[in-house]
Amino acid sequence: MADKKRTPSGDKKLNHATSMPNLHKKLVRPVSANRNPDTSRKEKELPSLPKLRVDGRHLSAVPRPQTFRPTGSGQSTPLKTSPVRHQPKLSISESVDSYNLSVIDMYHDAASIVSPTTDVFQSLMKLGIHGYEDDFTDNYSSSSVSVADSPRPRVHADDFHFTDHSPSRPHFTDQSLTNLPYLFPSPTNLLFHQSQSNHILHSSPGRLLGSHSTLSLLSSRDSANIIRNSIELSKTSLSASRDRYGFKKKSQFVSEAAYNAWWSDYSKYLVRRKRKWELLMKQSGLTYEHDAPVRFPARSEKVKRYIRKGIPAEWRGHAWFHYARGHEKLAQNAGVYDAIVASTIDLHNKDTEIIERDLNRTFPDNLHFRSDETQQQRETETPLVQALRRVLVAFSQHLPTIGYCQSLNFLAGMLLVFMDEERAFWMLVIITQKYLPGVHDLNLEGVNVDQGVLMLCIKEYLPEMWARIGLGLDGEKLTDGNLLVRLPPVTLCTASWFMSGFIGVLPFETVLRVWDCIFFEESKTLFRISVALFDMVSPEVTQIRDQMEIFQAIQNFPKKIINPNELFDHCFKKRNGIGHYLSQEEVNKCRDFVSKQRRSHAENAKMYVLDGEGERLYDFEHRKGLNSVAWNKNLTLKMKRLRKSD
Amino acid sequence: MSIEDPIPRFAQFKLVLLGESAVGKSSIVHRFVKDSFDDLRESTIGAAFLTQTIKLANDTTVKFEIWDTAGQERYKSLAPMYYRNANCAVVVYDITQLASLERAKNWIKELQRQANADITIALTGNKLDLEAEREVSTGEAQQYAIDNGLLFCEVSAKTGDGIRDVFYRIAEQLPVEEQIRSTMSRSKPRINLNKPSTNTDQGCAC
Repeated sequence: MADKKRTPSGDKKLNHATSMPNLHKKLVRPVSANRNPDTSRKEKELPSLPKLRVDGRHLSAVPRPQTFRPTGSGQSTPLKTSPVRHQPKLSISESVDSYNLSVIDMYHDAASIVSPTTDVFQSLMKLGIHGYEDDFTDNYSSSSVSVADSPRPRVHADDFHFTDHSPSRPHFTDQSLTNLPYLFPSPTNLLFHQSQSNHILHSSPGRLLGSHSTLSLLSSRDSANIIRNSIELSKTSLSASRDRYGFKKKSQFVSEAAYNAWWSDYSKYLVRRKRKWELLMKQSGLTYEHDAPVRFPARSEKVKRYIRKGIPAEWRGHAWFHYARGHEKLAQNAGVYDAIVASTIDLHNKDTEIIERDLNRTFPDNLHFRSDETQQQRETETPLVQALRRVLVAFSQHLPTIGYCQSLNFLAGMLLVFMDEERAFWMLVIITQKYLPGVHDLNLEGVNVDQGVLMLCIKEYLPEMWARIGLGLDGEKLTDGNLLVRLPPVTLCTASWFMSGFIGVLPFETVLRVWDCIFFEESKTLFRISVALFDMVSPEVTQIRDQMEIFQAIQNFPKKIINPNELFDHCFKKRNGIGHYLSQEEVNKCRDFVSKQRRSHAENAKMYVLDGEGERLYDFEHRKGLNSVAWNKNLTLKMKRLRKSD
Repeated sequence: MSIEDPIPRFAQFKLVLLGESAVGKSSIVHRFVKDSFDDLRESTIGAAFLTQTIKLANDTTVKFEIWDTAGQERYKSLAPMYYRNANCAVVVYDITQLASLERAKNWIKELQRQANADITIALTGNKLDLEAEREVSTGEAQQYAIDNGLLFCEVSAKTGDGIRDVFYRIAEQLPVEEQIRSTMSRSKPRINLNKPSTNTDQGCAC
């Protein structure tokens, strides 16, 4: 959708913006004339939209693009008005259907002609999303569009009255129908979509997907996309308490002042990096029109260096998708996501039950996942949460060997901030298959394997750290023979690093930098970053003797790394940077090795129960270790060479 | 430290929280450790480690090493790691979700089968503030606790009701004196109250 809405040239954008207001007047009247007599008054009472100044001219109102149908000559004709607007009373379902139909129609028509500025900005206003006005000005100052000071319009749910008579279906009073906004999303509308989707989710099984639910779905997806666009357009400012993504700057480990102190420097770094990227794009013969490139430079050492230094935030979604080969996946599976969503609308099983419980527990601190304005808005599901539900439910159906695993909610939630839900879905599929194979499986064996690999790395690269953490639950030293089976307890903490791709482990901006690398350099990044983290926390840990305090130090340390460059400089420093040690080939070999060792142990011990209840790999009654562990010689030899060269 | 100073009476225990997802395990811990509450807390992935110290009447300090665990069924493969060597377990259910009590009973059975024989288990019903939505009667859960020799509490992490009680009642049941005696006999002088260690016998190599 983002691409669609961007017009090819700035000139066109201005034309539309200037030509619309008149048309707007013309069109609104005939529609309202057919409604109840109060309408004109109500219209006036609707919150006024901000004044846009285009090339010095003030526009009295922002056009409502959805009420126009574009024609070649620049003239617009009214859309066919839906029956809703003519008939004073309708049965609820009819009105809902037709209302939605017209909304969708209008939206798609409008999307092709509306400039990114007016369209997205307006949509933000309609969504009641504020605070981005300044960023907006910054972003588009070059095209001389600025937002004049005007009272910030807020469309409140209270402006539109409808009562919800039944838990599952929205009821509209006649008056409320006339007051319904013409546009797709407003808090009211979102509320409306939510009740619809609740209805969809909890309605009787086997019901065919009716047209109104399809439309409601589409509409809800559009709303989510608009939010995503708003995030794309926004910037983190020092005056706000939240970052550009809607997260609170302040955390348990980082104060807002510390965040701002860091951000004032880091934002300058980002500007420098953006310029470099723009240059790189030009050199590679690629464009970045409208600040939204979809194609990126081919793989090279230089590109790798650039990616390690961070992809421009506005480009991330497309860049991740590009380097993770999302386009191929999507091309092979055109329409599949929509079909899964349609077929899972009535799904109710153990997975969906846990998904429902986790929806509100995914980024509750983020404005776009949980609004913080009013109590009512807090309790209203946001479009991103609805999109999250669809992606997770569809995923659980598409890959039944995984189903739903806690932590997928964070992966999907993060993706939804950067890309539309279909792409987010396929990225989730790619991540769980390519980068984190088996990690989210029913028995979580993939995560145990990765912890085994990580522990082998620690043992080799950071022997002092290993001496502290390489102990079993009885405090016994783990040996080569048993460490892969009886993983050290610290792996309970590091498991989440892998399962949620460091989301919630590192501060958000730092996670983004790690993800930049993952999609370009594959899963070795996870191990490199993990080892680097252990290396960084090492001075602290060597001062501690108590195991529990060591765990806590390792658990809490990453949450303080607000500056991504601190981590990346450490990981990839020229001389002996931990990040240079591990190749992807070694990681793959090591994963294979650990997996085989654990499997053979389990088989020997006849403890391997693959019945979905998980494996009894930690059966402590059985204390027999692995026989003849074939150590990963590759790693050991390499380390020896490195130590010699020191 | 002068000779006259009384030797600090200190004991440290491993406590594990178990229970269905979203019953409020992390919320209980955060109320106990930080005396704070968030309506929506992010789902716990893997495990979280926390510690909290309480003072008992007879000038004894008890430190809990708290292992807060992920509730989803599939994490069960990691469970033995959670409760191995645990001295006490808080098994949590949600009083508004009958199914969560069943899940709690399964945890208790597993603990009785697999964990330390002398483990202290507290069956804890959370979300007492949602009395109107109650599905599990106090009597039913209490009877189960009595039958199985468990401590029983109903709490609200949201209001803080009963939270401290759970941990104090557990502390009463723990072999505090025993641990203090054994610690004293192993390392007579110089126990640093600020940096207590239970790992004196591990003989770290470095």
